Amino acid sequence: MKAFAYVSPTTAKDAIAALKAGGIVRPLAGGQDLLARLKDYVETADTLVNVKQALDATVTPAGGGLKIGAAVTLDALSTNPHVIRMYPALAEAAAKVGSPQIRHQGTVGGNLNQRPRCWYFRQEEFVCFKKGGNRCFSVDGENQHHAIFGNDGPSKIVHSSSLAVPAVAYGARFVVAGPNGEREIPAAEYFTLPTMQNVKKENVLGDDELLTHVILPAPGHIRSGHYEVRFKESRDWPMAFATVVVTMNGANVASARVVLGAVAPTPWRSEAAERALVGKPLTQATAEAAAAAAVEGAKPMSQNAYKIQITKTAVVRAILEAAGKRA
Amino acid sequence: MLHPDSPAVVPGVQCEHIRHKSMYVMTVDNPQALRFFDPYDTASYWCQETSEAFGPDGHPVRPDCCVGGRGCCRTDPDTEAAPAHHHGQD
Amino acid sequence: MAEETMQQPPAANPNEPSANAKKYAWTVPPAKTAILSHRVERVDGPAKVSGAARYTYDINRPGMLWARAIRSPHPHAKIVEIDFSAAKQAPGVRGVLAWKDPGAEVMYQGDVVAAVAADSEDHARDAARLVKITYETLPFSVREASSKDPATPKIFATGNTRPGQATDVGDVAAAFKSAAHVYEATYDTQVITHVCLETHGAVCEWTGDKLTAWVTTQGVHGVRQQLAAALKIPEANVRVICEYMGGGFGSKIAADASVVIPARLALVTGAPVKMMFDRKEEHLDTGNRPSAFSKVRAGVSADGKCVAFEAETWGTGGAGQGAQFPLPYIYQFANRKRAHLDVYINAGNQRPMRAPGHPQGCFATEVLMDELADLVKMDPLEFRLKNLPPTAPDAMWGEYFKIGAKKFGWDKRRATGEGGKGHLRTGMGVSACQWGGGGRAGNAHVDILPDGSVVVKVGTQDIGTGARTVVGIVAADTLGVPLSTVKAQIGDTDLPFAGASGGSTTTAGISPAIRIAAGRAKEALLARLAPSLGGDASKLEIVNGRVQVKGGGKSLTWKAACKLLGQEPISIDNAWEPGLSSVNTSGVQFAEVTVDTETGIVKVDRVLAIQDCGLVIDTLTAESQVYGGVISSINFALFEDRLLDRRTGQMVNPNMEHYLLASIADVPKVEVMLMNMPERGVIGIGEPPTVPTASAIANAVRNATGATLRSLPLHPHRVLAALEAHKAGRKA
Repeated sequence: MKAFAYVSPTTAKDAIAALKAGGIVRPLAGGQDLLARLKDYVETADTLVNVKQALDATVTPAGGGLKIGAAVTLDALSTNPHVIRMYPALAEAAAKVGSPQIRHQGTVGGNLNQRPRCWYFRQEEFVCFKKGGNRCFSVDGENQHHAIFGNDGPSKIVHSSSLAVPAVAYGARFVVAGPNGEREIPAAEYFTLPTMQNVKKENVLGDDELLTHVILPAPGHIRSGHYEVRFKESRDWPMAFATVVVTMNGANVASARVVLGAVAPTPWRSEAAERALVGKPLTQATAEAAAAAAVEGAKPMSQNAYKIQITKTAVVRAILEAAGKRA
Repeated sequence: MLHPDSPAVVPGVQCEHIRHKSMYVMTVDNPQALRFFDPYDTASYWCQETSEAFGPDGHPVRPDCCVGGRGCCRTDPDTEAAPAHHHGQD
Repeated sequence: MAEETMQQPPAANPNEPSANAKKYAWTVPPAKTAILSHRVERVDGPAKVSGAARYTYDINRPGMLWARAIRSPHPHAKIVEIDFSAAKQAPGVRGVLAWKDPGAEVMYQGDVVAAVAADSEDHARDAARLVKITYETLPFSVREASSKDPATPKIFATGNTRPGQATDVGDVAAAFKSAAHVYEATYDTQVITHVCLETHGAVCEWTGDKLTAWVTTQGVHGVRQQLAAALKIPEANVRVICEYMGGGFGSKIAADASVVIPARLALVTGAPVKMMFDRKEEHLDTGNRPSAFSKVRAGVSADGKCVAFEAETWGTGGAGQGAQFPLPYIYQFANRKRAHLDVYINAGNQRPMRAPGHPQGCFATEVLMDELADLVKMDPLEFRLKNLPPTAPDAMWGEYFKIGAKKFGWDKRRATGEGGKGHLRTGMGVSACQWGGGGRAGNAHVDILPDGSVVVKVGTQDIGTGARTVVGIVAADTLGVPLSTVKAQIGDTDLPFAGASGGSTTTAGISPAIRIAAGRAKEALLARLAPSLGGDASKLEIVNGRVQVKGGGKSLTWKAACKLLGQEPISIDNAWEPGLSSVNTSGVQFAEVTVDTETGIVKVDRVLAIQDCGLVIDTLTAESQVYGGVISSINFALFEDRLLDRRTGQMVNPNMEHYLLASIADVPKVEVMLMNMPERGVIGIGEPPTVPTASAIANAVRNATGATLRSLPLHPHRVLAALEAHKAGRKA
């Protein structure tokens, strides 16, 4: 890989200043994604800014919810008793990422900001839209893992963050720090569908900004469920997954969030599925109706129609888990 | 049982540079054994001049191709090897 | 007729025991062995787990450079120009080499064009990218169907396809007419790659006109010959060393670019050069298992006898290599006809891969057998028993099926498609395998030294099977000394010749030579000791390292006995001789799976493998071969798939992320039953266990769900499609 300068600031402020060093500057946390991209010449960097010391690596109570530092490792997140108790879907998603080695090295910030795992994007030879090229190779290529929703734009990737889906479902807000201070962005608005203008990115984070915290609101009386359809038990990506968060009014659902993963260029919220749940008891029949609603409007590509069935299954099982009836 | 990798390479017919696994893996057959399937040839071939599965002329290495008439083929065991083809540049 | 006068007398049986084989025959039950056939841990296990074992990747020489290949990104192109000028200016670059010349064609993505050597791996990689190669791209095909299509332009000089070996036995037409049922189906298996954990590569160092090459290889002696031929130097000037290696599976027999490039660059630069391929290069250019398609028509009698078989088969072995496989496999169809077509595509060429051809032929045949069994309403195991060849020491399937059925609980197997009511369905499947495994190329040298050391030298190599341990066990057991007394030396062309480790031949190739050499060494030792121990060598024995008079009397410790050798050690050489090894093995496997019908995900719950390999030298390492074979076959069944982009011809998954391999948690409980047959002598076991698992799994999925999977790998999209088709078929 191309040689790069390496700086290791100890405060977020210094880290953000370092991002403006000139040339291509990238923040480095666990390095599980960035280093592989550099080694494979998917991209190059002039400077890497180590942000592991600069960013918060703690989980702290905040307003009845939790404030999670971007430098918290996936392992620490998945084993944190507060996270497990208050946001079990988030803990489960973190616990299933990759392998123990990746979870001990990888961070919350890195997971949320990781680049696509699309097999075209990951190889130097394929100069796709995301690398400044003029095509998405999956369109007339091998698209068995690609998007079945939100694939009208130039790029057909699926978003690869496992944490992003429960983050959206729980209504998390992301704290982003830049040269002009901090801003808070709802998780659902952080991730972006590709357009010709923004196709080189998957979110609104600026090159001179850092994601510093994830704020999870007080859970109240929510119930949540999470299900990942995984072919392999570890070291693999889910084929499709879902997080479901509901509040109950007696035996019936009062409100619902249904968010799908690995099916679209962003975490994919299904309002149709949510509507199918509200006012209904959490039964198998409701779950199936919601799952059917969730995949309405799916637009499979030439090789990925099978993902519709898998997505339905993920939704049904996540709902049943929220109901405490996981098969 | 015939060894499953039993290519039809005959010295003097095929090129002396053709190579396959059974030249290096020495096996013993039991001629009295029953045969449990029909003969077939799984062998992969390569050329020891090029160290790949294509001959010096770029065409595939196989018993059907590596025979007299092909320009790069050497079938006479008395022929002195051609001088080294130095690809190397400094 | 000339033919008559040229009639040869029948060949002598090459397995007829020699006088030495009779004299040094293996100990067979009820006699007991000291360590032979016991569960012996690998002698080099501690070195491997502690990192002390030095693999080729670990070899570093003073002043060593790193080489990196430049490969074609195109599936088919003509090289117009190779421009090294920028690369030569890059930091650390010391030499460049054109592997192909302008005007030559590259036939697949990953075809080597050139190479560079630099003072670090990073510099070599960076410099390689600066070599500017101009290509003129040419038409290509990366699908079997398109190469088979007569409308596709000719891409390969020798044609896009080529007919392979055909079979026509019996009266096929009449047999089909007589058949009660005729069944047709098409089966296919995918291209997979070897995925050796240690990639291909070498470290080459010249000293004057002599070359030392540390090579990760399955055959040090073969590599010496090939390197000498490629470099036009005497074989005597080449020494090849491979003390430890991280897997070959058939792909490391040829001395390919990974060996010849560093040798040439070492010559050009005057420095030792190391070249190790990366994972992508491994997938693209170090071999693979060919694809296999079988369009089959089979006839079966009302009482379940297979009578007729007809198949059109094809497959691709890459850009010019064949793709044949045995079909039908093991089960006897008296009347059969088959035509095969090798199909060429613009992809890396095949190399031998663990039981070449067998997993493919086994899959088509074994899945067909389950389908035929249902047609005649028989239990698939009963149906198999009815169509097996007669039982013989090398054809034990009938016995093993019965033993396995009992052990596995086959009586609990439900009828096809009745694997449960919910979304999780379970089912069982079965399959059989056959292999040769008769080696004959091993020479052994045994030294018994005056300080009591025993050195056994065999120029074989350990490709992961435990060869070093096998050498030690055979020598120690024969001499009557503890294993720790024996120092086994392997993996060096300075040692006596042994064949390449392929075809499961290593153990059968080297053990007889070691047995006889050690037996003769023991005899020589006892003859030398006899004057000190009563004068009659025939009354002496060595038990657990003590030299003693049989039935009691004088005895000496091993060390004390060897001291009596003075300054003249015992030093014995022996070649392989027939009679202590044999050929041909059989095995069967059972698998149980759970299928999630809502996701199409297949989990293998357990596998039972019953396998013979003649005399078992080390039960532990033999079982390890079976475990490894089963796991490989699970990967073949479920996960591995070399995927080529239909539009660009490039591989989309040349890594270990999207090229799936079982993780530890994906490996089920595997039970191994080794059927020890000491009376047959040594036979190899490396390959057969990887043949049947995949078909047993596919049959178990069929048993669980009723959906037939005729295509590997069993990716959820295929399983869901088969479930859908099954459902539609039942409704129709």
